[in-house]
This record gives sequence, C-alpha cells and structure tokens, in this order.
Amino acid sequence: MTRRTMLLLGLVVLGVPLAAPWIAPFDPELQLDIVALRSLPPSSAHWFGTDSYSRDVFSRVLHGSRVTLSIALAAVSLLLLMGTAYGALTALAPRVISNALRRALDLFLSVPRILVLLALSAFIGPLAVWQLVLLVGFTGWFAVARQVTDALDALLVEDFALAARALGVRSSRLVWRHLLPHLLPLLAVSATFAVASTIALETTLSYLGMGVQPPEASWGAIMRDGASAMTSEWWMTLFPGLATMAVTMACNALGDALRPPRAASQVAS
Amino acid sequence: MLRLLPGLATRLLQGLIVVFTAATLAFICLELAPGDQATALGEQVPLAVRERVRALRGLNDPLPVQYLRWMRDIVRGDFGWSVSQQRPALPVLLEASTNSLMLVAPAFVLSLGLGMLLGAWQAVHAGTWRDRWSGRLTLAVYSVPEFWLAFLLILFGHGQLGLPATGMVNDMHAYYGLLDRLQDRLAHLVLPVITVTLVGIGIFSRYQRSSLQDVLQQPFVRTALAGGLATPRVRWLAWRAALLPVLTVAGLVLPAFVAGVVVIEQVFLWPGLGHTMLMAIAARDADVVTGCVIIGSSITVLGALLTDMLRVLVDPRLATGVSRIEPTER
Amino acid sequence: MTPRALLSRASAALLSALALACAAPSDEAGNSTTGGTLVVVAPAEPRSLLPAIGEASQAAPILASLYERLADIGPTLETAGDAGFTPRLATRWQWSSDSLSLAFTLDSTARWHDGHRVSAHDVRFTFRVYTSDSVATDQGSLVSNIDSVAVVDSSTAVFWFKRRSPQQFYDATYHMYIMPAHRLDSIPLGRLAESPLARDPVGTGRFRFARWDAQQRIEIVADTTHPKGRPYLDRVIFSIAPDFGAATIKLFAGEADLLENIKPENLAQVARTPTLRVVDNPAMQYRFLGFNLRDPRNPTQPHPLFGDVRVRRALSMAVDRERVVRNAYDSLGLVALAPAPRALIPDTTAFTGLPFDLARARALLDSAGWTDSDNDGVRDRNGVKLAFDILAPNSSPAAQRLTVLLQAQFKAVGANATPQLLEINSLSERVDERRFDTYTGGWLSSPGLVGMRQTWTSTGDGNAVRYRNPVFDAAVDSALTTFDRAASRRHWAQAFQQILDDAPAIWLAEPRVFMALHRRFIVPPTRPDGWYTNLAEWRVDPAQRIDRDRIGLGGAAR
Repeated sequence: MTRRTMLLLGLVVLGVPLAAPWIAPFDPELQLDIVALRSLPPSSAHWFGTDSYSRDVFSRVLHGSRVTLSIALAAVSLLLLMGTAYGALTALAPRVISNALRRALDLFLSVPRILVLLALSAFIGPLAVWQLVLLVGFTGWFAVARQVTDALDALLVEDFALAARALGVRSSRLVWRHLLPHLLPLLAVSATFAVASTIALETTLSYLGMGVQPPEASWGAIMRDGASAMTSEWWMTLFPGLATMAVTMACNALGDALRPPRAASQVAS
Repeated sequence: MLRLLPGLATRLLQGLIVVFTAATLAFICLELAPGDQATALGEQVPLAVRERVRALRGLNDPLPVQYLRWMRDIVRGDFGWSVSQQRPALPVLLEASTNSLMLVAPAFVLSLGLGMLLGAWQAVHAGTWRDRWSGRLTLAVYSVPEFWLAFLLILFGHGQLGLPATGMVNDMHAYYGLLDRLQDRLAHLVLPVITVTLVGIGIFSRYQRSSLQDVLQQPFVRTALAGGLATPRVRWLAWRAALLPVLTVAGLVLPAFVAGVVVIEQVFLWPGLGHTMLMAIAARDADVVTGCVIIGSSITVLGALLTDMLRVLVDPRLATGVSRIEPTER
Repeated sequence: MTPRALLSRASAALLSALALACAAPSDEAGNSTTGGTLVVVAPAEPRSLLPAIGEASQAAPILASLYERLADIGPTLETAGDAGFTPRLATRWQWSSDSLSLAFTLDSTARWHDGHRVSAHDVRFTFRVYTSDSVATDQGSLVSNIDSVAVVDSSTAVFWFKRRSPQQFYDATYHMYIMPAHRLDSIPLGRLAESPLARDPVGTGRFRFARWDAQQRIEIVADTTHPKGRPYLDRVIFSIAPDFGAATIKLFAGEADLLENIKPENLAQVARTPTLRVVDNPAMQYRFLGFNLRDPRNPTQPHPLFGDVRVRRALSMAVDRERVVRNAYDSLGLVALAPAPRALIPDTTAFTGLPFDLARARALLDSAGWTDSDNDGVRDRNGVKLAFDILAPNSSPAAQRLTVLLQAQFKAVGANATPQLLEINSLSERVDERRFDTYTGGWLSSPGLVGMRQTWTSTGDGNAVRYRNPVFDAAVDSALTTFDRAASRRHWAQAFQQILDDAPAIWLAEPRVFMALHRRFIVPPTRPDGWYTNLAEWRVDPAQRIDRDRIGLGGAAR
C-alpha cells in the first residue's frame, strides 16, 4: 500500500466524522416510530437497521464517530503530551526527585484504569464529553511516561548521549534535538495503541453504564444498547464493532505512513 | 544480580509506601463518594433505620477518625469486615485473588509467549504482506471491545464447540468425582483465558515486533551476519537485545491483567478481583475496596521490581550506568 | 441443660440420623415422585440469609424456603381476617374477646434445622428484630400495629395489637419469618447482621441450607426430617448471574432450569427451545416518573415547574403510555393504572386516569402560561424554561429505557427533559435529599396494599416527591382500617381517583414477570407474591429426568 493510499485512508477517517451532519439521513436522536419501527434489521431504508428506540443506526454510527473519535484523538494527544513530559522529567531530574517521580508513577500505575474511571464517575456523576476526554487522558498517560522514562534511561547510557553530556550539551537541548527523535517510533506505536484502546475503553465505559449519556450517540453507547440482544439484534453491535476495527486499522496505516523511513543507526531499543 | 541486593531493601520500602498511599487514596475517594454503606442498603429500608445504621457503624465520624481506625486495623493485619458479603474481608480478598490468578496467570503467560513469538516472526518478515496483515489482524482484535470479543468467542466456543460459557465451575461441581472436577475446572477456563490472551497478544506482539525490527537494523547485526555467524544465532542475539521494551510493557500491563479484566469477569461470571472491587464500590464496602487496591498495587510494585531486575539481567549496562542513575536503582 | 432436655435432644438427633440413613436408599430405590434438582438463575447475590435483613437484598426465594411464617396467606392474597390462612409454625390460634390480642399455639413437632425445638421465645425474639431500628430491615413499618409479643409458655405466643383492623392477622403472620432465638439472642441487635447465621442459616423450613460459594451459587437441600414431610425436590441451586446475557446463556445451554424476568427479545428463543416453557408470574410492581413537588433548592417553596398541578397533568397527558410500554416491554408489560398493580386494586373501573391527549396537553400548558416565546422548541414562562432533569439508575435497563422514551415524548409538547443516569448510590442520595426534578422509581406492593401508607401518604418514608393531600391520606386510612368490604372498596376508589387527579407522578408501567422454566417441572399455580412460595410442592416428571436429577440426597464430596 503506497503512502498516498495510506494518507487518503487517514483523511477518510478524519473526514467522515466532520461530514456526519450532512451525510446522515436522519437525526440520530429522533425516535421514528417506537412501536412499528423498533429494532428492524438492515434494509434499504435503514442501512444499519434501527435500534430499540426506533432510531436509525446508520445515522447514529455516523454521529457517534464524531463523539468517539474526538474523545480518542483528544485524549490520546493529551496523554502523549503529559506522558512524554513526565517521562523526560523523570529521566533527567536529579536522583532524589527522579526517585520520587518514579515511585509516584508506580503509585499511579498500581490501580487499573478502568476501576479508577468507574470509581471517579461514581461520584462525579454523569459525564459530559469534555469531562470524559480529560478523565481518559489524565488516567492514560502513566504507561507512556513509564515507557518514555525507560527508553530515555537506556538512551542516556548510549555512547552518543554520554558524549554529548561530556561536551556540556544542555539537558533540554539534549532532549529536543537528540533524544526525542529516537522516541518517535515508540510514541507512534503507543499512539496507535492508545487510540485503539481509548475507543475500546469508551465502549467498555458505556457498557458498564458510565460513558456518554443517553440519548447522545457514541459507538460505545450504541453497543451498550445492543449488548443485551447480541444475537437477535446483531446489527447494533456489529456495525460499531466493525467501525472500531476499521478506524484502528486506519490509524495504524496512518501511523506507518507517517513513520520516518528507517532511521539509520541508533534507534530506541 | 547480587549488586541489586542493597537497593532491593530500599525499593521494597518505597514499594510499601506506594501501596499504602494507594490504599489511603482509595479510602478517601470512597468516603468522598456520594452515599455510604447505609445508602447502599437501598431505598426500601427507611431513612430512619439507615441513619441508625450509620450511627452504629461510626459512619458519621469525621473522615480522619474513620481513617485512623482503618489504619490501626490494617497495621495489625486486620483487613476488616466486608459489608457487601457480611463476612471478614480477608477471605473475600483471598478468594477473589485466587480466582483472578487462576484466570490471569495462564492468560498472561500465554499472551506473553505467543505475543513474543508472533512479534519476532513479524519482525523477521518485516515489510512483507504476512507481517502487515498479521499486524492488522492483531490490532483489530485488540481494538474490539472486550465484551463483544468475549461474546463472539462464546458464540463460537460455546455455540459450536460446546465449551462452558459461564462461571468457574458447573453448579453441580460439588457432586462430581475428582477427575470430573478437574476436567470441569479446565473446561471452564478455556474461553475466558482465550479472550484475555487474545487481547494481550496484540500488545506484546506489537512491541516485540517494533523493538526487534529496530535491533535487526543495527550495525552489529549486519556485522555479525557478514562475519559468518549463523542466522538463527544472530536472530537469537538480536531477540535478546530487543527484549527490554517487551519486558517493560509486560510489567506495565500486569496490573491491568490482574484487576482490569472487569468486563471479561462480568461476561463470564468469573468472580475475580475486578468484579469483587466493582461490587464493593457499589456497596461502598470500604474494607474490600481498600483491600483490593492494596493487592493490586502490591502486584504492580512487585511487577515493576521484577521487570527492573530482569532488565538488568538482559542489559547489564543499565546496572552500571555512568549517568546520574544510581546502580541501586537497577 | 437438664437431663430431660439432654435425652430429648439425643433421641431427636438419633431419630434424625436414622431418618437420614433411611431416606437416602429409599429415595434412590423406590419413591419416584421425589428427587430432582432445580437450578434457578439469581440476578444478584443476597447480602444476607437472615430474615428481616435478607428481604431487602434479593434473598426472598431462599428465605421463603429456609424459614417459615406462623401462618401462610391464601392463594387469593386476602389480607382481611384469618379465614384464608393456612397454619404453618402455628397449628392453631385464638382471638381474645376484644380482638386486641391473638394467641398462637406452636407446632410441638416443629424443629430448627439444628435440632432445637421451636418455642414462643423465637416468636418474641423475631418481633424484636423486625421492629428494632438497629436492624436494617424494610419490614419494620409493616408490623407497626403490633404492640408487643408475649410468651405465655414455650408453645404459646400472644400478640397484642394497638388497634383493631382487618389486617391484624395478616400483620402478625405475613411479614415475619420466625428466627432462632437460641442462636441469635445473645448478639446485640446492632451487630445481628454480622452473625454467622447470615451465611449459614438455621431455619424451620422444608429446605435446609447446604452451601454458599461466594458470588457463585447458594444451594439448599430437602429437609427429610421435616414434620410436614420432605419436599419433592432434592435440592435447589441458586446460580448467581448478575449479567443478563450470561444468565440467558446458562438457560439456553441447559445449565439452568428457571430464569425470572425474561425479556421480550428472549421470548422468541424460548418458544424455539423445546425443553423450555414460559410461565406467567403475575407480579405486584409498578414503575412511575415522580415529580418533585417542592423546590429542591428551597424545600419550603413549591417547585417552580411542578408545583402547578396543570403542568403535571399536561405532562401526564403528553405521554403515550401505551406505545411506551409496548416499546419497553413488548407484550410483557401493561400500562400502570394507579400506584398499585392491577392484581391488588379492588375495582379497576372505579376511577379514571388521564388520557393520552397531545392537544389537551398543549392547551393546558398554554393556559398555565407556558408558551414558546422565543421559538426554540422549548416552552418558557417569565424567563424560566420548561426544562428539567430525569434521574434514573444506570443499573436498571428498564428505568433507562423509560427515561429515554419519556424524553422524546416530552419534547413533542415543548418540554426539555435531560436524562441523568446515576450510579445507584448517588441516585439514592439525591432522592433522599430531595435534590431532583423528576426521577424514575418503582415499588413492589404488598398484599392488601398496606404499603401505601409508606409510599404515597404525607407521613410516608418513601414519599420522595412529598405529595401531601389530606383527602388522599384519609381515604387510604379508611380503606385500610374499615371492616366493611364494600366501604373499603369505595375508599380505595376515592383514594386512587384523588391521586390520579393530583398527578404527583406519571404512572408508567406494570411489568409482568414471566419466567422461563424447564418443562420437566410440574408446578402448582404460582402465587402473585412470588413464584417460590410453594417450592416444596414442585416436582420433576419422572419420565423427563436428566442427570442432575438422579444424584439423590447423598452428601456432596466436598
């Protein structure tokens, strides 16, 4: 697959959510006919069928892409930023501070994210989209920070880094010009995973009742609505599921396309 | 490795502080959450009665008082009382941990092993269609919401193959003979373990592939091959050099495996740590919640320690780094 | 212990052992009507198997099998007088001449599962527990007419009532499962919940407790030494499955025999499964949307929107309840007529509710001053928008569904409702503190509608919307205390008409509870207050036995 194809794919992934209000045939929250049009399988009138509230699933998936993808992209950007900053700080700080930061990170990492999110949403109550973004972002950067710290630790004992230090290169310049480029492959992989796992996380949160509030559409919300009838109303879970997989693969392809071709010698190990 | 011993004590002490802080935070969060044990009794129980229960259990005491009481008990080894299960919290925690371990240990080992194998294979074939499509497949499996993956596996594994779909054991397990009981337990493990493994393979294979691919491009590899070293041996050396990120990730995702597979526990009716903690949060069962957090963070701390030790083993440079990182840290 | 007591204990133990020893072989060999294993899917794990506490936590079927009442209500659930009741732990009873006290004579052959004799001390102790405010029970207010219970001798207990009412006998017998004083009375009541009997219960019922695998299953087995005879079934296993998808899998895989509350989408599959059938289980619950009649920020003031009865009536008329119920429950639900299920309403034609009428609803809102002055689709008045929250628990799919459906219905008349799905404890707290605009709630009614005092009268604990109407209160009180059946019906009709006119809530749905049951079970007709009330009479058709029915009563290997 050429780079051009992959870029095109990426644009589609980003373009669909933006164009949703114009492409979608129905209002995603409109209950068309709660008795007659309830839970219909896909047909020419409703490409993805209707859900149990007689809403058009295709429209909901389109509008849902806006919500789900914006949560994913915003949260991932946030967590990459925070994670890299914290990781760099930890690796470069004086020993005592570095230790403290590392142990603090252990602390943050010790409770699994999903439980933190569930516990927090228990007392913040129903979450708006921007709150979800912040919550997901703020709980997701720990893993990135840890990986960045470990990568930088390893890099800092490489010959080129030791040489730079010996020459008196300032830490910040060291990070910016010499170390970060080596981190990019790692971050690219992390980003791909982060997007995938954030979309899945949003779905899981919705499944457990803590995601986007009804009647708003997100892929997680659609799957939650369909979770109790996965065989009889298969279209409710299949299409968001396929959409999730498609977006993840597209992000992956995009990541590959953007990855600098074969950095010559020293790369992050 | 002996170099590490003096640092070990420090790390363990620091780990203890981490665990304790995590438990404290959990305690505070639970206290600050709306409602308490008494609220969790439900609307049917009259408000007056709930107020009385609150008073009896000391729930109206200020937070510091409740906290000190809890801390005093923990230090004495008394994990307290589970209000959601009306029995001491320790058996609750032990059972939940055991159940989780039974599910997670095989899954973790399998996904790590298979993930590394797959990732290595992909790195060796880097750039080919095999590599690309297997990568996309694993990523797709990873990105699918867990409950849907679990359901699809149940549909196939249970619907077509007749494997048990829910629970740890059959309801009639107590009446089985010894051999039947063993078979029952194993049969019930299959589908949940496969589900968790599939998610894990995605992570491990991805990092293994990425790191091995980078290593394979290093000059030393070309040199070794040119110098006449056999390809398998070179690959083995390269793999060793590529282990670090995989180990880091393994250490990172361990807590997620142990307590984070909540949805899988829910779908398969597997009463592990995640499920128990969820039920405890809903019942505002402070002792069980803090107990689960203590267990979870202990595992993370131990996992981090183990990973760091393994990393030193793999890359001895990290033990004697000339940079500001002290040897004791590794 | 006296030598006499010791001897009787020893002989009782010997007899039990003998009976058990004899029971096993004869079960396997001859008696083909006994035997069988029933596996029930339980949607939640009970918190406790102690009466008083357990009822509030999903333990009802198990409590009904492990414990007994003094007397059991008849199949028509008639709460007036004592005619329809059948003796259980009490063999006979005697009213005093002024009908203010009632003496029960206990069955002399009744034994606790640990062998002890049942005595009147147990009855008195039970009353203490149910009326203690240190015990987290939801039944306390239901026995408020009983002043005290006295022990005359070891087999006679006397109930003293505060005043005469038709439900005296019902109050004394229906709400309380008798508890073993000899095992529990040394524990301070505030700590009763922590007694080991909460997880290892001792009762007098036809079934005895066998095992509790935490978060997985609870098993009860037939009590072969019971004076009234052993039940037909060998055992009942309650398999805990909080996830409904997993529960249906168990059912259709044949691992479970009974699933309560099947959903409309499962009906078709049940019909296709030859081993299962659907059993109608008339239930006694209803769901409603309650309007907070007081301002949440200033409880002395009426609610800015819902203080006006016209708004409430208009919103009630704006909801097409037929279609909402049809969508939410398919054929498994009915529109609620009143704050009571049809089975318990004496005469459903004696009052009329608000019809579905969009035109009238809109007109009423207009006349109340709510018009859409800025054309944004939402009505307003004096700068205040007709916008409000609907609180619902995120753990109840039914409540969520109703909430989302209602939102669309309200939109059609220019009211902007925002669903708020809260975690159950947050919801409880907000409702307790009256910090809500509207909320979706539901109640399980008791026979005789004796719970109406708690749910909708001015002094009721459960009256979260703070509905206060002395006319309604008086009508309910008269209905519950008069001995004249016809007068009672009139009073109930009056009460219902009043509350329907006042519209403090929209009476949404009366879910009908259907269960899927394996065909091999031959069961008597289910009582509306619970399918489990006659579990001892359930049996397995010998011709359709499956493997787990043939195990017999031999002890488990564990």
